[in-house]
Amino acid sequence: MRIGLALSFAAMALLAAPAGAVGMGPLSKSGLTDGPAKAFYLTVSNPYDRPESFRVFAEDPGLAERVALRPAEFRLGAGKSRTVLAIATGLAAEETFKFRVCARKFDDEKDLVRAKVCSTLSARRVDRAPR
Amino acid sequence: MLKCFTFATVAFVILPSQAMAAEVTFSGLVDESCTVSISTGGSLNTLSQDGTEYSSENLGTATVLLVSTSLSTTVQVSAPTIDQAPASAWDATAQIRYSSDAGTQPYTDGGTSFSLGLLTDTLLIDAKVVDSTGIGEGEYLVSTDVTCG
Repeated sequence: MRIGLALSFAAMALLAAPAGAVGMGPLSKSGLTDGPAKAFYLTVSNPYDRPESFRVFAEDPGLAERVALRPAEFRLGAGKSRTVLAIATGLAAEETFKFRVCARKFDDEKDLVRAKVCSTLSARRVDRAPR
Repeated sequence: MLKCFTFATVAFVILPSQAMAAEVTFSGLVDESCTVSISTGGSLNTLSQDGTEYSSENLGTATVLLVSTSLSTTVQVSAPTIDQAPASAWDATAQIRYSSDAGTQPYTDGGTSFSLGLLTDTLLIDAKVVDSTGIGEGEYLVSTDVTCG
């Protein structure tokens, strides 16, 4: 039993190495629109010294239907960055829609420490007064 | 070539008087961004003497995490979860602690956050599994989310 336990612990020591990393900006942004949608540009970067896949997503799953992300998944070269569009949709007249979009490494579910960077976005629909 | 030189000389003679009256401005945009990178992944490898704690201290490895940001921001560390454990460890709980330039957080099983006033900060994160009935044989996986922004 004691030997078995020791072996398991040793296995853990070897297994536990992966960890996620990601960069993103800006961390907050707000904007006005006169239509039902508002787009924000975000820049996601790969801090690894090797190509990695990343994903962006609405932090609140309940808001995912109203937030379009293009692209939502992508691969970046070592130290490279790319622009991602986060689009708030379905804005009602005079509505202010706040949401958070986060970026993380694509397959980090088994990482011990999962790194995540989130941007707080706010879109306000201001309709023009009828003439 | 000679014509070009002449034009250049004329332009040079005229420009200084205009430049002296001109306003000199510097513009720049600091775009708030954050990068979280992990240089060392952690591992659990130390069993306490009473057999109730299994941690990343001593023989294990702490996670070393670097947070870089262009402006001050908040870093959130989620409550740790046990993603994998033997069936006998149904009563086990996970705890983490961390230290950084901003301060230290003792072992906790809850989520915490701190303000990142510096442009870069290094976090040392330790994790442990606690089971008052004794750590059972098997593999354990403890994880946490570190969120910048």
